[in-house]
This record gives sequence, C-alpha cells and structure tokens, in this order.
Amino acid sequence: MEIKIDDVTKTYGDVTALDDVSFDVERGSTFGLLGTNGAGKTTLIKLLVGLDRPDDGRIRIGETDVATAGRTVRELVGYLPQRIGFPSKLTGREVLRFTARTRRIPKAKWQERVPDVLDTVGLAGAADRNIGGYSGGMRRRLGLATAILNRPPVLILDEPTAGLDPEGVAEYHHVIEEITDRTDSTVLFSSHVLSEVESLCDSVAVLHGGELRASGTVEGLTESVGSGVTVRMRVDDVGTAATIARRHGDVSTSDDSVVVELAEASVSDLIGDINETVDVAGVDVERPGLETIFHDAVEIGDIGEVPA
Amino acid sequence: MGTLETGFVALSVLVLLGTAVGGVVVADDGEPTDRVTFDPDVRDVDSFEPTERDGTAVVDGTQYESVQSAVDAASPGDTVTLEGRFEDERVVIRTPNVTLTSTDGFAVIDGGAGDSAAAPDDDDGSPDGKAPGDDGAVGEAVGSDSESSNDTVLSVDAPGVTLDGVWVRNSGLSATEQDAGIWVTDNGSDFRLVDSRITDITFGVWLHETDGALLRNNTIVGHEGVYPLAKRGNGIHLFYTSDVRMEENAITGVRDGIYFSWASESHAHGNYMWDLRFGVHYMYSDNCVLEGNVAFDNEVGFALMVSRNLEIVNNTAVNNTGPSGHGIQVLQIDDTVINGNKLVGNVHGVHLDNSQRITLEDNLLMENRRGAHITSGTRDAEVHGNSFVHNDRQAFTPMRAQKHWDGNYWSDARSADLTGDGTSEIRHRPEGLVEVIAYRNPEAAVFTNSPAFDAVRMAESSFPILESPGVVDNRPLVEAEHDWRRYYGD
Amino acid sequence: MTAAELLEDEDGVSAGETVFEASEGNGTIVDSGRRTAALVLNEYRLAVRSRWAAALTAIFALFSLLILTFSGASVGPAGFERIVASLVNLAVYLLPLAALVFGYDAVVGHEDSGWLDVLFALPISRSQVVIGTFIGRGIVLVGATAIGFGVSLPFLVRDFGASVIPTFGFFVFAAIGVALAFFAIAVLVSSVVSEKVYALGGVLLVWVWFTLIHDLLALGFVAAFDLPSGAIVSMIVSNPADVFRVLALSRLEVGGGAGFAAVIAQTDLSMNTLLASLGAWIVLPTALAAVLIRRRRL
Repeated sequence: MEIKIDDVTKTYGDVTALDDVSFDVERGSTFGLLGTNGAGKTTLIKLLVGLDRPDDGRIRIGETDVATAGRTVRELVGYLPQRIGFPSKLTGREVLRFTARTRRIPKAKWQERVPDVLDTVGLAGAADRNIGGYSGGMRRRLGLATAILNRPPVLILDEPTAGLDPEGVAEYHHVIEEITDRTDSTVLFSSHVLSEVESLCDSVAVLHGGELRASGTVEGLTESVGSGVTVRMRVDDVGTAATIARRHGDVSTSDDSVVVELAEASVSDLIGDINETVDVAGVDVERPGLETIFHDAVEIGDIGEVPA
Repeated sequence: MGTLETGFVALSVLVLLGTAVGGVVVADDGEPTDRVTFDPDVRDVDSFEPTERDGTAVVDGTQYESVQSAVDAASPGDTVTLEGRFEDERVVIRTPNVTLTSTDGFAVIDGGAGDSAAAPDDDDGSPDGKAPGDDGAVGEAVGSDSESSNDTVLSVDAPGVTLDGVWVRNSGLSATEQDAGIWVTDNGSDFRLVDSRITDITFGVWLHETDGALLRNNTIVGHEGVYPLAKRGNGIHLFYTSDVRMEENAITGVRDGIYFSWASESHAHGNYMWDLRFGVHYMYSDNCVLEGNVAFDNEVGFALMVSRNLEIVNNTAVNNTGPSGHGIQVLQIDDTVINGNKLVGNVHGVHLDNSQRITLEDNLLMENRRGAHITSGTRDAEVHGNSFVHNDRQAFTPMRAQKHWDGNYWSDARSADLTGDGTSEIRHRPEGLVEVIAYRNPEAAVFTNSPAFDAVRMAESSFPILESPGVVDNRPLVEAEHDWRRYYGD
Repeated sequence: MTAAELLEDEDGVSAGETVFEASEGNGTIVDSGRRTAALVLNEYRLAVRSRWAAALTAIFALFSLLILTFSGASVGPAGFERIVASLVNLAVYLLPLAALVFGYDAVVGHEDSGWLDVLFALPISRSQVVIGTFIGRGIVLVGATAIGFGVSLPFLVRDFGASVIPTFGFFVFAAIGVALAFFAIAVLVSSVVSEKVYALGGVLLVWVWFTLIHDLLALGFVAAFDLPSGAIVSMIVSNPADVFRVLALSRLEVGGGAGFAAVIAQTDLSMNTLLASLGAWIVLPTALAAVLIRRRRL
C-alpha cells in the first residue's frame, strides 16, 4: 500500500512544522525519514497516522485520505509512537490482548498470534511480568509487537531505536529487517541515525526545518553525488606520497596524511603505488553515502547536531 | 481478570443488590414515630361509669329526692350527703357554708342537657365558628352577667360552699350561653371543689367575680365530640377573680384547660391538661403563679397573653403541635419569669412576641422545631441557664440586632472549658446571618447544613468582630443542667 | 517464528494489504461497543491494580464507621436519622474530593506515560477512549462508594431494624450519583488540560467552588436581591453537591427546620428535577470531554 504526501503544510502558532512537503512511499518499500531534532519528522508521522490534520495539502494511504478517515487509517497502520509507554500495572500479554480486542481481531486468531508476536520481539519470557519492570528496549519491542499484531499493510515507526543501547538497536534492526526483507508491508520509519537508514531503507526523505531537502532511493541519491571515493592515508613522508597520489586523483595534505579523491576502480593502484615508495601507517577509505547527501541537504552548521 | 478485580465487582454488585432488594422488601412503611417519649400518668377518663341507682340526699337525718330540696332545707354549715344519681337536676345553692358530699362513690348530679344534643346549640353568628372570647375574652365579659344559664347544672350563689367527691355532668352545649357544670356567682366567695368530677360539660367550673376559691384534685372532661375546639367551653374559667388556687386537677376535652380573664393573684399547681386548644390561657391576668403543671398534646401548652408579673415555674409542655404550636407562648407579656420549665417536642419551645422584660431561665428546650423563637418587638429578654437540646433550630430571632444569651447549654455547640469553671471559652452562635436569610426567604433553607452555611456560621462564632444580627452565647455551658435523656425513653 | 513468517499468511502467501487482520463488523454499534468494552475492562483493571478500589473503599468505610461509632448515643428513628444526616454532612465534602482526585489524571495521566499515544493510534475514536475511561474507572468508584458506605448497613439494621434500609439505600444511591458527577467533571478537566499538575489544580478549584463558593454566592444573592421564583431551584441544580445534599436529606425529618422535606416543598424542587439534574451532571461533563478530547494535541 503506497503512501502519497502532497503539498502538506502544518503550522503550530508561529512555527511552521512542515512547509509544502511532497513525496511518495512505494508499496512494499522501506522508507527512512531522516532529519535532525525539530526537522518535522514527528509532525509528519502524526499527520500520517491521523493524530493531527494538515493545514493544507493531502495525505493518502492507498486510496484512503487520512484527514477524513482517521479510524480507517488506524485500522491499516501499525504505529509505534516515539514516546511509547504502557501502564506499569499491566503485563505485556495483557497489552497485546487489549490491542487485539480494540482492533477486533477474532479471539481464535489472537490467541494464536499473541504468543507468536511475543516470541518474535523476544518478550516471550517476560510476557506475564508487569511492564513496570521492563527495560526501555523491552518496552519499545512491546510497542513493535502491538504495531505488527494485526499484520498491518503499513507500519509507521517514529524513532524506533531512540534511546536504546547498542545491543537493543541491533535486535531492533534485526526484527525490522526480517519484516522488510520478506514481506510486502510498507514500512516507514524516522530516524536521525544515518547508518541505520542507510542499511535498512530502500528510499529516504530528508527533512530540515520543516522543508523537504531531498528524497528518492538511497541508490539514486548516492549516485547523484558521484561515484568517487576518498582515501585517507597516514604516511611518514607526506610530500612524496602526495606527488605519487596526484597521478591518481585530487590530493590534499595535512601533517601526517594525504587525502585523495578518485574513482573507486583506481583505489588499489593508488595504494599499491604509494606502498612501494612510502611507509603507510594506516588507510581509511570513505565511500560517499547518505552522510554526503545529508551534508548537502542541510546547512553545514546544523550538521554538528546530528549524532553520527 | 484477577481474583481481586472479579471480587471487587462481585462485592459491589452484592452490596447494591442487597440494598435494593432490602429496600423493596422492607418497603417504605417505616414511618418514624415521635422520637420524644412521654407517657404521663393521668386518670383514665374513659373508664368513668356513673351509678344507675336513684339519688338520695340526706340533711340532718332527713332524706330528699332532689339535691335542690336538700340544699334548700339545709342550714348554713350543714353537710348534705348524696348517694346515687339525680337525673335532670338543676341545683342552685343559696345556703352559705353548706357542704355537699357523697357517701358511696361519686354521687351523680346529672343535668341531662348534653345527652340528646348531637351538635352544640351555637348561634354566635361568627362566620368561622369562632366563639366569642376566643383569644380576646372581651365578648364574654360584655355578654355575661352573674346569673348562670338555664343549662348550667349547678350554681353556687352563697359564700363558703364546699363540693367534695361529687360528680356533676351533662350541662348544655352552648359556649355562648356559657353552659357550665358548676357556676359560681359573685356571692360565692371561698368556694371549695375537691376530689370531684365534672364531665360532659361545655364549661367545667365558671368562677364569676369570685374570690378565694380552691379547686383541688378534680377531673374535668368536656364534650369531646364537639369540633372545632373553639365551640367548646373552658375547663376552669376565671372571670374577674382573685386569689384562686387550682391544684392537681386533670382537664381534657374542653377548649382551654384553665382560662384566666382578669384573674389576679391566682395560683395553679400540679394540674394536667391534654387534648385541648390551650392548656392554660392567661388574658389580662396579672400577678399569677403557674407552677408544676403539665400540658401535652394540645395546640399550645401555656398561652400567656396581655398580662404582667407572672411566674411560670417548673411546668412541662410536651408535644404541643398545633398550627402555631408553642410550649409556652408569650404574647404582650411584661415583667415575667419563665423558669425551670421543660418544653419538649413542641413546634416552638417558647415563643416570645412583643413582650418586655421576660426572664427565661433554667428551662429545658428540647426536640422542638425551634427551641426559642423571639420576634422583633420583644425587649430586654434575659436568657440564661437554659438547655437547648436537639431542636431542629435551637434559637430563632429575626431581629436586626445582636442578642447576647450567655450561659446556656447548646447541644450543638463546640465547647472547650479551659478554665474548668463549667463554661466554654468558645463562643457559640446558635442564630446568625444565614438563619435570618433563611427566615426572610424560606426557600433558602435548602442551603441549611451546606458547607457554605457552616462556613458563615463558623466565621460568625469564631470572629467576635463580626457583629452580625442574631444570637450569641459568649460563655456557653459545657454540660446541660437538665436530664434531657429521659425524654428519649429507656 | 521469525517476523517474516509471522507476517505471512497461514498459506504461505506473502503478507501485505491482502492479508492483514481487518476488524470484524466495522462501524456498527455492537462493534463500537465491543471496542469500548475493551477500554472499560482495561481501565477498570488498572484502577483496581493501582489500589484505588481498595483505598477509596477503605476511606469511605472508615469515615462511615467512625460516624456510626460516634453518633451511637441515641436510639430510635431519631438516632438513625442523625446518623444519616451526619453521613450526608461528611459525604458532601468527602465524596466530591475523592471523586475529583480519583479522576483528575484519568486522561492526562496516560499522556505522561505515553499510553495515550498508543490508545489514540488504535482504531477507536477519542470519544470512545474518554467514555471507556469514564465507565471503567466509574465502576470502581461506584463499587467503592457502595461497599464503603454499605458496610454500615448491617450495624444500622442491627440497631434500628430493617425499616432503615430504604432510607439508607437512597442515601447510598445519591452518594453514588454525586461521586459519578464529580468524577465526570474530573474527567472533563483531565481531557482538556495539558499537564497533570494543571488537572490537579483544576479539580481542587472545582471542589472549592462547588462545596463552598457556589453556595456562599447563592446565599449572598438570596440575601441581597429579590430573586424571582425558581432562582433557588437553579442555584441548587447548578451544584451537584447541593443536589446530593437535598436528595439525601429529603428522606429525613431532621435537618433544616421543619423537616427537610417541608423545606423542599417550599421550593419548586421535585424529586424528578433533582434526579434529572444529577443525571445531567454525570452525562454532560463526560459528553463534553468526549467532544473536547478531539482537539487535544499529543
């Protein structure tokens, strides 16, 4: 089920949270919504799931206009809010049963599926404990469980890995990957972590200050910034190394290293040439990716706010 | 669903169902009875049974067929001994110092006038059936002379006459004609009526401009079938008398038990009066003492009107609940002491209206709708030592000034006796701003007992600086000086 | 089972829009009722588990038994009526306060934990969330009031006989009514304010207003102006605490002067008016909350 976002504008008082944003999310794709804090990601997601209405523009999920059919949208969409929480006196299983009942999933189905979903998100052992005793990661995984319980055609996750420890992030990525790799579900999630978007998503949109700065497939965007790579080598003789390197590409130098930009195919030649003449203490190869896109998309000064 | 959750709902449903079912089963017939218990030991007047034997009267060893012939034959100072029953008698005693007495039970002097009449022969002409003399007594004074009516059973027209242990019954039914059981004329000074019965009469004993009478331990029962009460006569009717003593009489079935009009220096003591309009009624009667009398189930217990220098002491008025049912009604009374009375279960315990210099002291005012009601126009009332117990409203006065009634007991007062002298240091405000508002706007009484009501009252009693109108007790008593609990029964 | 397997249909068909679990009976009243029932059950369960049920029951029981103990001096119908009158005097403070404090976080409290975000993302309307919350917690309040005050009933029957049941039952009924009315007001406050502390401040103001200020102003108006007939009636029905007080006392002979029933007879207040206004005080704030919650921003 595809998502179409057309000319969406949303203001809160004097603040323009979204300014004329348009992009499409293809059916079955995994879509990353990238931006710094305050870029408008959460606002857009709330509009997507019908928790708020755009001032202008239109959002459709499949054929459904979100603004006029809030409940139908919430039937179609599994949603994980950024700020997810559960009453601490309930158990994980009770939350899932409650979700199933309010989603009117037939009892025979949910009786079978609740244990499965708990298993999937790794909460089978903790299902009958009070949520008050859950860690932050467990709560978010329980949130994901409520979102996928009814096999929604669209899954919208707002900052799913925010605040998780590295292990929790890895587990979460694993679950999302399984869903995205093997199903037709359209998954849209927001993040400010470039690497997870790059590794999980087919397509991406970059929001900054409420404006859409870039959107498209990860591949396409990467190509648009060129196919060259950057090689950074720490060497004991910077001058000699720079001379050799100039034969392969553009060179800049610092006290202990040379930085070369060149076509990817020439990297091994470059390293071979220099290695013959100069002692190389270390090599670092950077391919252009979302970070470059992100750099280009937002003002340079804002980059500092983005945790790498 | 855990057991706690199921259990709580189950218990709730159980309680609600139990209450609902209980409510339906028991239904709403549990009408609360009078909460005041009062069971005075009065004579059972319904059990009086006159003898059927023919009457004989004996004077000086000679027997007569009628009482009249006997008393006519008697010399001053003689005793006429009666026995049996005299039918259709009319007796006029003109022999001074004669004594009539019975030898065997109560000899009956039966006037025979009341038997046949179903309704009173009443032609006073007032549209509401109000008899002359109702409240005012002026009509009676103007319309009466010293002669008794034709349907009066026994008249006393000589001084020093004594009736002892006789039963006079069946006078006429007219209050306007002043039909009486016994009529004493202005010649009848020092009349004595003791241990006798006067029943089925309109007026019981009418003392007409007679001084020095003594009425003791008699039972007076009027025509109980006559309504309204205004068409009945009074039990004991004093008209321009002085120095009359009435002791331990029992009076019922008449209009007013003891009626004082222009009667002075008279003393009523230990009389019982019930099922009447007024138990005792004073009009234009000064310097009288009312002591130890009991009036219950009347419209008004003791009605004091337009008189001065009365002593109303140690009387009891219970369940007097007429349309304006007062224990003691005080209307245009001056210089009067009301002391030690027990006023329980009446509409108003004591009702003071347009009266001057009244002392209300050591009385028990309990379970009345209003304990003390004092209207504007009443001045210089002293109120202390009284116990105000569980009246719906303890005190009421619509006056705009603040009245200080210090040293009373109030069952609803918060008290704290820090000095140990028996009086509380917390001043009490039985009557204040909100009560006055509710009096002027009766609808506003729905706010009674609301927190706002309480807050105003608390502010009034806590901050003496608020001189709002009403009643204040600066030194309320900590303990009641009355044993009020006995009126709640055992 | 992996997530992918999970998202596949039993027949191995790839998951997606074709196989997701669409709700049964969309849009019908029964359907919407069942969804609300899930909310009701959940709210009820939370209120019991967070010990509100036990705490409220204990408080009500404690106070009603205290009054029973300390006014045990006089026997007979008078004694019973005094006890009920004392209970009314207590309940007119306690019940609104308890109901308001119980209800102030009903909606805004869930926002703090993030649960409200989850609820609002479910295919139920926000109005259903409010109504479900009201009913679910309301059951606890009704139960606590019934049990807390009902514990006195056996003692009252022992001391005064079974004839007291209708009057006492009516008191409990009115107490439940006023508790629900103030709880509804609390839910309304909780639905419109943005933070829990504002809700708490709001309900405390509501409490002060209805237990004290409203009646003070009413008395002031009565004293100062020549009000048209019916003014008193509107003053009473515009305060649920007053409606409760008048309802509960109307069965008694004690209270304001010549029996409270006689006082009520002087006004145009009928039993039906009182019951209807108490009902309105329960329904209208809840309905208003159910409408205003749609404007709430998360």
